[in-house]
Amino acid sequence: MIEIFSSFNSVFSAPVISAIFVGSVLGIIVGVLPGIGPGVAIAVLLPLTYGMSPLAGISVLLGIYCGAFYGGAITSILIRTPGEASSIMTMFDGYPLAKKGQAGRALSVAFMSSFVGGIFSAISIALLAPYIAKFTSRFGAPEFSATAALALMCIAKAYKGQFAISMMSLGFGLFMGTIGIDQTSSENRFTFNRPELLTGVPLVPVIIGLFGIAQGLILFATKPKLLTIEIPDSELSWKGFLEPFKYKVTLFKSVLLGTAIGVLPAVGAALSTSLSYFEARRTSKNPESFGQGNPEGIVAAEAANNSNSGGAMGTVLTLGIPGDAVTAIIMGVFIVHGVYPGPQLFVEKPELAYGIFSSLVIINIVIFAILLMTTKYIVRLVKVEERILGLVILALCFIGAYSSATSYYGVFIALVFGFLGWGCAFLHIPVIPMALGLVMGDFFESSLRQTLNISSGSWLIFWDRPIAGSIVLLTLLILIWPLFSYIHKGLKRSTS
Amino acid sequence: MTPRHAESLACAFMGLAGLVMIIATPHLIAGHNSDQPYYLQSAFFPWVALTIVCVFGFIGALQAFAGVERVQSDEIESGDSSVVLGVLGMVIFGSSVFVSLTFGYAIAVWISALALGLLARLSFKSSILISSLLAVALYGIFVIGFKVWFPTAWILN
Repeated sequence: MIEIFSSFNSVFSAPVISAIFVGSVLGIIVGVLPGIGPGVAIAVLLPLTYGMSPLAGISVLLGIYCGAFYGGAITSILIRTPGEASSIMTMFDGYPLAKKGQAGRALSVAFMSSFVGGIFSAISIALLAPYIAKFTSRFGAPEFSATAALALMCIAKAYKGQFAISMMSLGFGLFMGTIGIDQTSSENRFTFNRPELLTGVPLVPVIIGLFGIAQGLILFATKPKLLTIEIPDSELSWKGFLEPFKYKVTLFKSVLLGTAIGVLPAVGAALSTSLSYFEARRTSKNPESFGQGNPEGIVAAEAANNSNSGGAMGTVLTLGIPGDAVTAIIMGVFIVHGVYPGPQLFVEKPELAYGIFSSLVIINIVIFAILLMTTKYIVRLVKVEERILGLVILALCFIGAYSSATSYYGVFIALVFGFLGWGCAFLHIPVIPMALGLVMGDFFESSLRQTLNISSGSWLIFWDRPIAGSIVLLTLLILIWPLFSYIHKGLKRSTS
Repeated sequence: MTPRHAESLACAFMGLAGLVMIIATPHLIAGHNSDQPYYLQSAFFPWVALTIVCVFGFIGALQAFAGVERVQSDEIESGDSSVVLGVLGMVIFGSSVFVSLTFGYAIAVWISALALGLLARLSFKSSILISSLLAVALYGIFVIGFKVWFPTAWILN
């Protein structure tokens, strides 16, 4: 508890507060701008964090991450265009309310619900994290390798209907992570005598390429559209801010659900918002009003949406496992700064670990304050031309990739992966598993080889340890469950 | 070729490439020692990763061919973006490295942003304005502000 309060000291320093402010503003803008998600923005703006302290750098990115959740609600409510999958549920009731001339009320409800969700999840995970870290500090190599396998499996599983393709993408990411000098044997793997490849494929240009360049090219090559967007009046109201508290049970349930789902790797905010929304509708006395402008629907969706951020950061910090593209990139920033997330972080650098949660609390307050003052101006950004955005993103990607190693080699790598990401977007092959595979490959390989080294190559070591065994069992169950389900359905069909 | 077939073909290619790489792995590791226990060999984990690529590449090819329903995700969507424009954009992006080496960073940003703007059918005036603003802003922030070093332009040598 003391650590949490004392961590506010490190947050209340000029560089970190400025970073929080810049990140929050950028996040809101990114959430409102068409076609850009927080992943792309974070990838493109990653180089800005190089000269900063780890806490300041991560605060910028967290500001973008959280700000985009708030910003996404604006476009969902006002112009029926959810920027992110997680904002779809907000649109269901937000847009009808805006059409009734109550856009300001809908936005106020959404912002306050997001605010409560963000603050609650940051504080609750900060309180729980030491216990989780204490538990995971007992983990050895077998437990870590089993957890990494489970996390990777969850990531692939998140792509319903595309499990095999996302596993393929994940495998490719893991393979890319093996390029360079092998830390165990010091042998050069797939380096083709190129000295640049000895240290492996650089993460930052890869991320810039996969997310930034790919998105930039798609936006730049988008056919020009006739912009006929009518933005309704969006004056925020204090009455609207108090409205979420009328639905206390929904608010509480959504925040809990969002935080809990945020902890799970890869499940993501989209699922938590839909679960909360449908749960709110199921338990409502007036379920037929959902989808027609019921503020309770906005409360359920937005509270769950923003509470994901705290949960997701909890997993990264206590286990060292990123759950989505954004947390994977944030983990990349940790690594760039020589900080390795995991249970030891709470022992070795408590001011950083707790500082991140304190920073999340401050970020939510700053975003809320910014939105109070600027919403009616920010909404105009929805009219920005996608082609211009693409152009700006490409220019930022060039300097970002170059400055990652102060060399054109970074630009070359970004271009190669940009081409790959762009091609994957057309072929509907997910690239987030690829990025996560690359980020986690090293950790997975070292813990797996260490495990097998302890057991002299016997895989039965996982069964000798209850925690590792349970995790492996869960992973296998997730893997073969569709097969069981398929056989069960087949049997049912044949008997009927 | 339908997008479904293209996706299926890409997965099959990845599966095949994975298979070829599994066989080629020991030859692509300098000083690979195959006499060691399997878990100590540096080829162990690449084999694990490539097996995943190979197996799921072929399964994915079959799934894509059969047509699967996708869920909404945070992945980049191609939408109605033009492939030809995208390729040309990539060429301009790649060639801006050479322009930067020859004329310096700021001019490279200006030229490539102008070319991209015109290619994207923005008006000449808008293209000039955006490319000039971008060149000045990025040079100011990164080169002057963050002190990102660029080699001296060839033209100045």
